[in-house]
Amino acid sequence: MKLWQKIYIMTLLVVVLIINCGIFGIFYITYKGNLRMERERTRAEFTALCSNINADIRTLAFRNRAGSDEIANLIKNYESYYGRENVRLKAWLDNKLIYQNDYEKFERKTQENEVFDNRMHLNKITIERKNDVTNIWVCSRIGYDNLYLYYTRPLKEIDKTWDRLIVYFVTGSFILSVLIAIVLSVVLRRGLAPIGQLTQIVKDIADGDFSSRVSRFKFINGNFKGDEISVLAKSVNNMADKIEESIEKLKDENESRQNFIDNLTHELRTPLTSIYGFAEYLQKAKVNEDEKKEAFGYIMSEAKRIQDMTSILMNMMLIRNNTISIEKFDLSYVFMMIENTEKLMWQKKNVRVTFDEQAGEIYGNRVLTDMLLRNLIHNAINAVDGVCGAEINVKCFNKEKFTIILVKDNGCGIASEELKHIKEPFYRVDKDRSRKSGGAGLGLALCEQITSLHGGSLEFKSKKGIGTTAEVKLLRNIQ
Amino acid sequence: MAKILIVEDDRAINQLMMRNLSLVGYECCQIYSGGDVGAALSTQDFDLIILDVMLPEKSGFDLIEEFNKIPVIFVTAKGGLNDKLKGLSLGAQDYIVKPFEMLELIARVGVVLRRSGKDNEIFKAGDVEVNLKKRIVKKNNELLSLTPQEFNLLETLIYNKNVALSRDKLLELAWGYDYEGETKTVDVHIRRLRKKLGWKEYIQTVSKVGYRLEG
Repeated sequence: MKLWQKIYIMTLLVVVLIINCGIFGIFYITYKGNLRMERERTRAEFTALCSNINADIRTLAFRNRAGSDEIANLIKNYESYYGRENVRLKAWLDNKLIYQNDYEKFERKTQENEVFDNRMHLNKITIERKNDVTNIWVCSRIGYDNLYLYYTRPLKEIDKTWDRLIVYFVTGSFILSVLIAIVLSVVLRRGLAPIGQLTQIVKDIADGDFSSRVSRFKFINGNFKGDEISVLAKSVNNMADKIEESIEKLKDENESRQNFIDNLTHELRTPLTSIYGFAEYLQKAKVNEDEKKEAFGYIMSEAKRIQDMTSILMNMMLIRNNTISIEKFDLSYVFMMIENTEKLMWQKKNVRVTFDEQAGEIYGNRVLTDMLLRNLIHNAINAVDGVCGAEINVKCFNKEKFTIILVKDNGCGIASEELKHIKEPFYRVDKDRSRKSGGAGLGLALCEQITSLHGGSLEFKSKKGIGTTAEVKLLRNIQ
Repeated sequence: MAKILIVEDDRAINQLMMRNLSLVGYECCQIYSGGDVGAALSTQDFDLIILDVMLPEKSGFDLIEEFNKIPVIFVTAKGGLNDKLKGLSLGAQDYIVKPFEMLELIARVGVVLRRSGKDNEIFKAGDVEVNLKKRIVKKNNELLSLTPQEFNLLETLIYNKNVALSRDKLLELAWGYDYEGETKTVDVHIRRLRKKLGWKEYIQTVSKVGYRLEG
């Protein structure tokens, strides 16, 4: 059973009950009022009747003619006077019925010799309903000790009115109930329809259609402004927004991960193909000394490529899985260590590397900073390869919250559209040259990871033909 | 002699393919970037293009739309079914996934070239002439009678000339995958071919590997 049907039935029951009770109550009060009026009227009429009869009997007694026949005759006269209103009278004298209406006689034969019942309450007006006829009656003693007068009158008008009221009540309440039923059903259906629509939308979202939204106009600004349904509609929309957002984010993440794996596969397969291929060539073809040298050269350089790449990947993985330990160290010491191991290579390539230290002791992970600096210098060396008067300047200083390390070269520079991609894993600026120098395109991805672990960033500025500057920012109060 | 354009940015692999294809007698031209393809095509005609998918400047999938009639074989590290389907639906004749084997490359290139009728139909060595299309062998212009199996073996050796083939590989290529014979069979047939054709020095025995046809 639907919610609107439940509410509908409950409300309808209560409303119809209340309205019917109300109508019935009003009718009943009217009826009671009418009865009271009849009672008053009867009292007045009966009192008048009694006093008239009393006076008449006195007159008769005065003439000494107050016998039972005379009294009966007198009463009969009064009765016929009121006869138009169906008043019936009975009279007992000395416990003997002396007068009774013919009609009464006919109607109630058993009471032919009815003896006055002493237990009857005198002067009390009683209304009685018997066999669908309402009667009003009263009994009283008049003058003489033993004359009792009994007055009765059927309340035909009241009965008729009552019957009519009952008919009105039944038809009226029926029509009203039907009307209420119809109006209520329309109002409830329209009022609760949004819940159905909201349910559908939530269902759509559950089924994976994350673009499904509750229409703003109808629910939030329209008919339902401000009520619970509009609040619900807003919340549903908010929920859908959030879900869509996170799904998009997941998709993006998944895509970049897929890209990384694709690239990794490519980067691993390419050198493997060469290694296997040249080995196979050496085995199966008839080769001369030069070809042999070439093949061995390729096998060795490609194997080196895989080795370099795996060591960088290992580093990246290690960094990702560990929180770094922070220590206090001197950058010039790190530079000195690098210089010691790389000096020969720099001299061979005819590059001058200078170091300008202004930062003093800094906080960070020494091993990672060493790795970072090594990578950036290595890139700079590649960039100045073949440039006459090649120079690389490493400078570090403190600025605001950061320690800044600049690695500046006067090499070939990088085009601005390539600059955007250089930090992506496996991206190479000059593919051809990098292959020769054995890079895998992972160095800067590693550098970026290191700087972000130090709460900093890595940026590049470059002009084609003039040189490139790498700017490393490391957060100073990293603890 | 069929002419092949190799477009591959990795120098080692480009060199490797050139070496292998030159070995079996194709003429190769090497290109290392997608951007240089146009220039190469405008100066020379090629019978086949071997195309890497991930190339600097222009990807292989973009490039393939530029050459309409020349058959293309994709060589790529992307081995996913979707990439294969995409490559083939763009009109490539075949799709080789890295890492590949030497014989696979040679076989696929041979198939595509023969399909377009660009492969050599006649192989000559000494006074013997083999017509691969008509499947006849002449020595001094006189027809030699070879059994079908002997011709299959001869054909396999010619297709992979200058490459040493192991006995197992020969069984697989010349006899078929489901042949369950002994490698001795190969030796017997090689001996017969050498005798019939007089190719004692052309069909070389490579120790610990197998046999190689030189020519």
